[in-house]
Amino acid sequence: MVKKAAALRKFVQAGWGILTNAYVKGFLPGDPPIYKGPLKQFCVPGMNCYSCPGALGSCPIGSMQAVFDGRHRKFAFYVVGYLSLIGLIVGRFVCGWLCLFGLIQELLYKIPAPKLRVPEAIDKPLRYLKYVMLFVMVFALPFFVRSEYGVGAPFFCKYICPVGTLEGGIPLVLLNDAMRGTLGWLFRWKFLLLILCVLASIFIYRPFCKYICPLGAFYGLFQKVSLVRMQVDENACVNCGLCAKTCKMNVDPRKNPNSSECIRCRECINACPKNALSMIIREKKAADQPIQEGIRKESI
Amino acid sequence: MKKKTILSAAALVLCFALVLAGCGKKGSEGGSSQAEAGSEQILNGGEEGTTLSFETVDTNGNPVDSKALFAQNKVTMINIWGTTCGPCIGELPELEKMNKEFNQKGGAIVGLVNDVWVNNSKYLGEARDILSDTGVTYTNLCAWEGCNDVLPVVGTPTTYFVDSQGKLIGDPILGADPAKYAEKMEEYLSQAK
Repeated sequence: MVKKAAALRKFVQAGWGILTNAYVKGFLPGDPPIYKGPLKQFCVPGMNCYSCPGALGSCPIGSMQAVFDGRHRKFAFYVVGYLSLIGLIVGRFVCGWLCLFGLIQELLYKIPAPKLRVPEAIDKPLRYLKYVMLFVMVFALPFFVRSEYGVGAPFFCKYICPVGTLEGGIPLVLLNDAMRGTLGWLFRWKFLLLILCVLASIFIYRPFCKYICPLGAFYGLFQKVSLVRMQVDENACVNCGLCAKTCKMNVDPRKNPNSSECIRCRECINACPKNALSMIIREKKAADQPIQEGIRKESI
Repeated sequence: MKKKTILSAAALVLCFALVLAGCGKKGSEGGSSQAEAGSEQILNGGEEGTTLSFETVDTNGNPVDSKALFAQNKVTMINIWGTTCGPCIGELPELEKMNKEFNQKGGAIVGLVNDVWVNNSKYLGEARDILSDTGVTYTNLCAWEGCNDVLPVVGTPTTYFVDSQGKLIGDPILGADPAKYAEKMEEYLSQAK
């Protein structure tokens, strides 16, 4: 049962990843490798590089920066609104189910190797790094920094994002001669970051999601108020701690079921011997009332 | 989930994916349209030896004929840029300088703004602002229907070189690299008849 649930999630992650990168033509020689048709106007909900030859949709983080860094400084209302809507409905569910790069990290973690639990003294403060990425690299620098001729830059995409290196940079360089001529120090830097991310993912579960991802940071802001949320049945819980032990994002569902670090993978729900944990859709008014009152419980 | 359900779901996903893969922008087919055997044969886009022949408008509204344009110089460098492309705009001031130097030797730079179209001037104002901010005085062309096929662009800036008859010389240069442009221009000028 637990295995089936985990397999279902992998299936959804993989299926969605393939569906949103199904532009096979981009990988064939001779054609311009990046799809620029009408679907590109839409952002996928997870991290997925616009420049991936197969990508049918745009990256929300990339799109945000592209609007922020324009000569006429503009706020990305459309993209931020779209992401906020998703966050309000499902919080970080996208991270656990609809993000291809999340899947890639999980697959890397499956490689047999000693698994490291980062000590809390490092892990807890480092989780805030993703907010630095979000507010500084994705928003502030692209929005405010301008060159002499009014030119801005997408700082996160340009200097940090390993998703872009993996899905965009490397395939484009392999597919296109002209691209190869442009390689310089920046590509080497981004490639190094990607290698570090890949290596870290073998030993640590989803390190990019935990420490770097600005999109995860953004969705995390909505976890406490999202419609789809986690609930602990205090009466059923026997405090065995199995949920906290199972959680690979280092969340303790007993204390903080709607932590901004939870990616809604449901492994804790599956692990609980007393079925005390569940994901529910809640009504607006039921905010902080006890479980018995006012919450329409529709277990997903 | 039963195996059958998983298989049919997977098949559905695959079908969907293939359908979507078939949807693409018109003109992204790198097809070769062979004209009659004669002086102008348009082969695959962007390849050395292809002859360009087009009519368009420049950013000041003046009509431009490619034959007349290219005949003025031994080698013309076509720098394709976009109004939202940071690195492209960044190199424009240097290109203005380089153009003046090239002019002394029979070469010239011509810009092509790939998001300003002959029939859709939404970004024309922006392009003209950028050109004036960066001090560019050389001709900049508006994109015409089919220009992406004859001058394919993976990313901007992309720079092509043509001879006085509009025939493409060498490989395109991708990325803002004025030093490389100058090097190639020297090379092609010395080879030009």
